[in-house]
Amino acid sequence: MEDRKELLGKVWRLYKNNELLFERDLKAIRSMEEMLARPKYKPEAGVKPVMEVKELCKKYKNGKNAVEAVKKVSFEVYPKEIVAITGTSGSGKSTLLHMLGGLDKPTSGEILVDGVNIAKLSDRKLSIFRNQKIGFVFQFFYLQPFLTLAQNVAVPAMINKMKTRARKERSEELAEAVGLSERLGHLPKELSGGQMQRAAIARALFNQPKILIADEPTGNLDSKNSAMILDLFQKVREQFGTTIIIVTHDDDIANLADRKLTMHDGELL
Amino acid sequence: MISVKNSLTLALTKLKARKIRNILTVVIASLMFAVLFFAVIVFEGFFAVSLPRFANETLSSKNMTVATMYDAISLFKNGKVSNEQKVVLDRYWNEDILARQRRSKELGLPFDEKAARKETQPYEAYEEDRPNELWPVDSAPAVKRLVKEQVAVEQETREQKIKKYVKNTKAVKVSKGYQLRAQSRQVFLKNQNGEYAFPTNKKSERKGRPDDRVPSVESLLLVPQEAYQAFLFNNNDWKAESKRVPIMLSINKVEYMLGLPKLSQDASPVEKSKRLQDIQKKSKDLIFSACYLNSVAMNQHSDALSYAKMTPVLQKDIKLAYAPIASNNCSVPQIMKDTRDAEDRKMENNSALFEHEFNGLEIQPEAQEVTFQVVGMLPPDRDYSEGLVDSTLRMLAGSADGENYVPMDMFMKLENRLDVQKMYAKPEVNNLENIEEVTDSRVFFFEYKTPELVKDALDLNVCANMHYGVFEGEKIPKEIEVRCKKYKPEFFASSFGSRAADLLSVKETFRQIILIVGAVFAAIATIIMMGTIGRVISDSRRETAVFRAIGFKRFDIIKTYLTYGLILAGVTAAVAFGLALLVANILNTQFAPMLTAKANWIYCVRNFDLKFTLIGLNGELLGMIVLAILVIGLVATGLPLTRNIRRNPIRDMRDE
Repeated sequence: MEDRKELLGKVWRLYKNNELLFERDLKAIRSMEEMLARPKYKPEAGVKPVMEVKELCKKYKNGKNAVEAVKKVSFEVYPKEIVAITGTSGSGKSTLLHMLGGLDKPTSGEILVDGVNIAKLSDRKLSIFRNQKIGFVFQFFYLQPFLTLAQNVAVPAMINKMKTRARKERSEELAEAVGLSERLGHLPKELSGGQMQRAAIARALFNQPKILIADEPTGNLDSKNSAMILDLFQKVREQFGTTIIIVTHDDDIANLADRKLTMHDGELL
Repeated sequence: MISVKNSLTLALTKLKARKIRNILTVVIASLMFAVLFFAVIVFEGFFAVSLPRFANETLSSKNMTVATMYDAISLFKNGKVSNEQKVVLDRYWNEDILARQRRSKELGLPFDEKAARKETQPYEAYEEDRPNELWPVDSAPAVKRLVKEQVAVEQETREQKIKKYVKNTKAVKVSKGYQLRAQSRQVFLKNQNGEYAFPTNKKSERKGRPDDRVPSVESLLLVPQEAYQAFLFNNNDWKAESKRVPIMLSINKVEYMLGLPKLSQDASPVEKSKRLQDIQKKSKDLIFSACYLNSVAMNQHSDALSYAKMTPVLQKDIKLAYAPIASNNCSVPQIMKDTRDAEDRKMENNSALFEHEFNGLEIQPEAQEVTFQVVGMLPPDRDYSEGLVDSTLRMLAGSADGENYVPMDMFMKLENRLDVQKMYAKPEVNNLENIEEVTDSRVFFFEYKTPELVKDALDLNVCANMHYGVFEGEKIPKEIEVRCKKYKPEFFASSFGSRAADLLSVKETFRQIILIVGAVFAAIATIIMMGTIGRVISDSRRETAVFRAIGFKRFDIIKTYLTYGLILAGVTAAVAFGLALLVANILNTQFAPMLTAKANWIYCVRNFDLKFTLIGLNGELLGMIVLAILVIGLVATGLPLTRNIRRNPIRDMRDE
């Protein structure tokens, strides 16, 4: 209920400052309210975690000084859970996210995904891991500007050499899931920011990853589109059973997750 | 790993994404490479297509050299008289002086020993400050005697020398020829009006530069069939009993003999072709004469001219006077006045006898007319007014170097051969049965399989120079020096017919120029391509990171960018080639007719269907350039890519 109050307070402040509030923003606020009102997902007791993070450390060398970006972080993520990692800028949340996605290697500690410690995988095996187990969503979408939406969504298929027909079917299925069926033949420049992010999510889901990792997925979107993306995450979790880890510095977004992990100075609070 | 099709799809997005930059790169790099392509196309068109096309059809495409033997020169090491030789020469000199003294006494002639010694001195100091370095005087009787003896000794090994040279230079065939030079006679050509140009007392009426096309038959080169076959008229009607010397003159000499004015250098291709055809048509009937006067007849003619100029008072004192030879008659001067007594006659006869015996001068005046029939035509001689294109073409095509060829086998069948030979005899030789007695100027025609071997054989001339010291201080390449050590050359060779070896050198020089220019342009193009591709790659860092996150392996990303680089390079190569071909075509349309006309003339063609082209497409060479461009594309991509791929993808991904 407090979250709701905070949200309403925010809207009131905006209203008072005469900054915005159009119909669509009100709609977004309403949809966020709805989302907040939904009961949080709780994994059943005894379910094995999809990801176990144990004593994870990451040290950088910044000139002569060693910087400890992540300090002995341990947590578990369960199947179908939406976990938000939040914190201020420089708190180490992105570093942690990259390690979870197999883009960066920890200095020490373990990241077990399906019982496999991805911290110990070779570069080649990590590539395969990322392709098959992880889906990434970024703040700036990074769609290929001269590929159609269908082609963009199917980029991950280039690696596992999926047959053209299967690829087409999968693209259509995902486009429908993210509400872009009508836009399959369009180029990114013909899409709105929200649509581009939805396309990016479709791309991330292409290889049916177990975990979807989203780095500030709404950082570049307005409130309406942000709400839609978060709604989509819920839908994805329900439809595909995907576990979602979101890194955000926006508390409003974090509050929508099932669980919120807050980082400060490289540690989990 | 991603498939080729997928990497192609992604690479194409790179091309589309940076359209302007990519187009600019292709345009600039294409211009650079187009220069290279253009140079190669024109180079091939000129050297590999056009020149051989003309050479094969016309001028003997055989790889030949003409060589003279080093008989006489080899006698004097480094061209100098050795101490031993000096002793022999001194002895011969003294013997000669004694013989002259004795004979003068017998004939009742005055004898000045000092003057005779000076006249017959067999050697002289090379330089005043090096009095011990003596050089032989070729004309001295003592030197001639020594050389003659040496040649007589060497005669036995001549065949062996040829065999050795053939083996050393890898010649496939050797044939003999002779260089005939009228040494004791002056030759006058009959002009269009039927007049000989004997000297007169009239001041020269000719103004300006004399026509450089006037032929001279003072020198004839007797050539074997393989050397002249290419120039012989197909259906010439020369007969051995015609008593006409079969001769081949250069095309410009024939032009002159036909009374045709010289064509201007600016004459159109049509005019040039017409002239060539005209000459070829008329030259078959070309017959001309020359009058050979011996020294006695020449002296009498000169005396007659002097006499004519004298005042009557002075003329009175002259006992024997001749009339000058009439310009329309090849005959000896007629006596106009003879008031000599018996003693005068005896002294003059004895003096002439002495000169004949010791200096090889003839006693009786002689004038003989020899008729020539043109049986073939040689490429043009050097024309001093020709332009750069003509002189380059002529240099590459080769010429007869001002020589007149006489087909040797035809000459040997000539009924009046001995009379003709006599005109070219050395002064001391009187009875001529064997051609070798005429002169010792034998020449040898060596034939080779490749132009490279011709070049090798010509390179050996340096050995001869080195050995005999003909050109002291000449810089000798190391590898030739090594060859020279193994082998003492006996011949001095020159190009004959086609300039196979020169062509090879010129081609090599052009090739090197193209290589250097090409390397510079390629370097510039590489820098441009590297700049663009590098920029594209560094601009795509985030994209690369995303690909990595999606699961692309490093190699997949490398493959995508390399495909991009390859496409860019491929398009550059295609545009460059197209551009070069276009410019070459324009150039060809512009200059090919002119070059064809020039080549027709210079190669003296009979087949007028031959066309000169500036376009030669050597697949191998062009393929190599395309390959080089593709490699440049790969290198230009690879270098920035290596840097990029090593970067941490997460750094690039975050907008920090």
